[in-house]
Amino acid sequence: MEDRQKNIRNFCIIAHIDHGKSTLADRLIEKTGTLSKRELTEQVLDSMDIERERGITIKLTPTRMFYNYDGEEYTLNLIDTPGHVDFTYEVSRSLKACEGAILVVDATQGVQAQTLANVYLALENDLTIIPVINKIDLPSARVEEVKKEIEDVIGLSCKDAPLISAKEGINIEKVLESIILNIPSPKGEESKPLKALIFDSYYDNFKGAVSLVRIFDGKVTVGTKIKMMKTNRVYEVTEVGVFCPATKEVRELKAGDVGYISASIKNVSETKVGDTITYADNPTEQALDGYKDVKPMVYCGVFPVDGSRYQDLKDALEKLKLNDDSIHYSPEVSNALGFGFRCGFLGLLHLEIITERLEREFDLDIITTAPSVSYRVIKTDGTVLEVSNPSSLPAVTEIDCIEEPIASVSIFTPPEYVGNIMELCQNKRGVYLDMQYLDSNRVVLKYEIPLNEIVYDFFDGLKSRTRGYASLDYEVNKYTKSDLVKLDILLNGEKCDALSIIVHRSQAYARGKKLTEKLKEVIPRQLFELPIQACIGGKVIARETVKAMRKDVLAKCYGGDITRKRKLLEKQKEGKKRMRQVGSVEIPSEAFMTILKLDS
Amino acid sequence: MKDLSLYIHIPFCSGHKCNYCSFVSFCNKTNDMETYVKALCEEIKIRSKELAGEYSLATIYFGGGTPSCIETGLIARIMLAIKANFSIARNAEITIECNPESLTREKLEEYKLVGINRLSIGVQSFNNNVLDFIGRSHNAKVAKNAIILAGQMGFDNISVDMMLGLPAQDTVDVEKMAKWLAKHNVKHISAYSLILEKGTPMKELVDEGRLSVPSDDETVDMYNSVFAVLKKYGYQRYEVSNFAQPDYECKHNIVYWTGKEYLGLGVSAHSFMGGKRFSNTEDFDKYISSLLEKNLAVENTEILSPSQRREEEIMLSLRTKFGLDTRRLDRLYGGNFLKDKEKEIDFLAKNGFIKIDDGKIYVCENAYYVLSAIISKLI
Repeated sequence: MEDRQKNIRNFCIIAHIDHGKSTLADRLIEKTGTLSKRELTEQVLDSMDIERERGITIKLTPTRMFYNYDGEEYTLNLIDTPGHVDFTYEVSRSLKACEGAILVVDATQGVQAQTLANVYLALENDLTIIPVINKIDLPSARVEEVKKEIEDVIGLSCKDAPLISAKEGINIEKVLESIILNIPSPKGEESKPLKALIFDSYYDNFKGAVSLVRIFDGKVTVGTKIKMMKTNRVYEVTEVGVFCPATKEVRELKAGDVGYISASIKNVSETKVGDTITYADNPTEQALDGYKDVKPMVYCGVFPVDGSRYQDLKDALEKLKLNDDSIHYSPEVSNALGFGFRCGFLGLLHLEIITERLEREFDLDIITTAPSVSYRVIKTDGTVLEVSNPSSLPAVTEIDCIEEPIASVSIFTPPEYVGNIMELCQNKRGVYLDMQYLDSNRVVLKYEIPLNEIVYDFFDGLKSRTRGYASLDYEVNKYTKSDLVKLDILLNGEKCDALSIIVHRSQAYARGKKLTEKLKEVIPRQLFELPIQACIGGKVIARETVKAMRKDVLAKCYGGDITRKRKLLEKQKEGKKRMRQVGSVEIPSEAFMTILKLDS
Repeated sequence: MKDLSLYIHIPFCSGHKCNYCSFVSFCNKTNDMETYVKALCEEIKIRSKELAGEYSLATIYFGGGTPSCIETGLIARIMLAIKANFSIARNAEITIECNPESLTREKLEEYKLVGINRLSIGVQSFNNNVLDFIGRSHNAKVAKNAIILAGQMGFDNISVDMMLGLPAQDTVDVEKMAKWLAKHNVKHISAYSLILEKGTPMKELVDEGRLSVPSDDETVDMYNSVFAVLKKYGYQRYEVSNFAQPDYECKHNIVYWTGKEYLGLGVSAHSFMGGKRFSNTEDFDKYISSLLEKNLAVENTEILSPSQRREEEIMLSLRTKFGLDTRRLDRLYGGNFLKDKEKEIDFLAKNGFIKIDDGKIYVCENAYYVLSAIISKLI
């Protein structure tokens, strides 16, 4: 029994974004003959268009591979992980299903923010970590320095670390060898009651909710009666299989295996990630440690450009939610944008990806409002409110104080940019904590920065001030009382709720000025002179004026070609659908997008 | 007999096409003029068979292109064909569009002889630099002489086209021109603002930044000053771009604005008959070959839905001094316009864009140039 597991290795690859994680995964798949080079489109595991285009991994995808080493055949289960800070929770999910992790470090860039963040996660989960130095073929590779960095900063020995180029396929077999020699085999017991961890799930139109599982003890086959330990619901298994990387049905999954289980489950909410699957009749006593529920960090309003497509937007969000439980949404009504949804995301990248998917996969034109964080409002009567939508902030007289989420931030950077970064953090109300030299080339800066400053334009600021060389990791760990105010925009004296933001008092004036200036550029001339004001409470802090329209007329009607005129009129009418009405002011939806882009 | 208006399209220009023009017209087909007229006469014949008994022609309008540029005698042939096949009302308004350089004594004689009683002269500007910029081949002197000559030859009903918002043009220019025309007793003036149409050389030049045109604000200033001058001289604006001395409104134009029937003949010509809009092919050769085989060359037909007809009526009537008759609208298409659009009407009236009088909506004098914005609120 134990013999079978002796030749199984369950591992994941962790890395900072762009360090070559997905490319290495491709090479492993190719080298083990799981897929031929021909079948292997670049980075097979990143299956979504967006993933491939942006070169990022969003969803985790497992793959089973076979490899002959020293006369024996090994089963290698690779679980790919996302590399971006927004998706840290997905990484921690993969880690729980593995015994080991390959840590890929870019030989030209060294240890970066997510390198460290992911290593800590792996260590928390008692995984064996194999450091791998990638991109050694590049002229700027600093192999020895990076090795030393890994040893000093992370404390991992790099004596036997494979030096590879995933892109060029150099030393891939060294990685495979190291996996087999260093990562422990699973130690489950097939005879014990079933204990399987759901580390992900997705919805399939034919099979229903499919659970991606790591079997720790027991075995499962078609017809097995299973129970979800969190919900206590019982199902009969209809299919079990593995990923190669396409799904492939197998007879059974046993202790040590990674694969999928489907059981005609209607909704992914019933296959809760982190839940333990066991036998219905002979359950295990102790469920596996699950995962923390993830909470959205960033919120924004999402509205259809064409108000009549509200239902389509709702359907699309429902469908996305099926496969991404971390999206939160609830209906919202705005005086300017009509019916839409307040959505919560893991971070800005997550927000961007979801809105892009809504537009691409569901052919929707949407307007998103400025990203906001969740504030804690303590009212004068002592009650506490969570407010993630500026327009639901209570009246000033009802507020005792407002607390905002504070992120502890680590920024990795070459030393020459320290000054620039400090200036940026200062501007963003950051509180300096610490600075450490990792080696002569790299510094890590630690700050506490309000999350609302990070979601405003911190990433762009960091990128431009460090020419893209700095990396960032953050974690929200507390709420702090802060002097926050609601900044409203008035168009012709009417409040436009979709443009309200919550800002720190010290920044209200600058933001108000920028917003009104931008609005003046993008709002077309109306039939009347239009004042645009930025206000705090009743006080106007910035004002611009759009002059009244003077010319909007169709030319002569030539030779009786009325049709052309009517077409123009119809086009104008069609365009009106994309207009938003705030009081008597008509604003093209595109204008909202332009204004809000100012935040990114 | 019912009234019908006839439009005849003459798709020829001499020399070259003006660089802002997007209409169907050719400069390299001088040899085809005769054939074209032959085809046109066929179309007149075919159409008359179904219509002649029922209709008499209240207006005839030769447009183009430049109808005056075709060889002497051809317009007469067309007129003769019309007379032979249709009955023409006794006071029919018969207009021909001309450009100043082709308006010779000989042509004027011909027009007079066949009953043409109204000239529409495409002058556009009296500023030679401006004329040069837009690719017109006449100059101010030629234009003025043509206007004077036409008057001397006994044409009383003369209309002159001027354009606003042209490159190098300013308010002083257009004011001077309007004054000259008024003083010379030109009965009707059309003042169109330049529209940069897709596919025209001028649009390309402007897009490439090689030519600049006055801003909308400047164009509106030009329009307002022309309006002020003409008003002083007793002209009335009866449509956005059209000004006339009393009783000299262009009857043919009014047909377009008031939803009456008209028949367009010739390549690319548009018609509106029996609630149906249709137009002939824009393909010159196709038009000729099809008519010479005695087949019509209609290519696009559109039957308007009631809501389209309603919208057209709103759009067209608000352009004119006659205004939008909301009771008629309610009677024809149902609803209660004044009530259904109460909010918008209130807003527009309160802000001085429209007036309401006895169930009719009129656009205010100073609001004509934002007409599209007004209309879009009302449909």
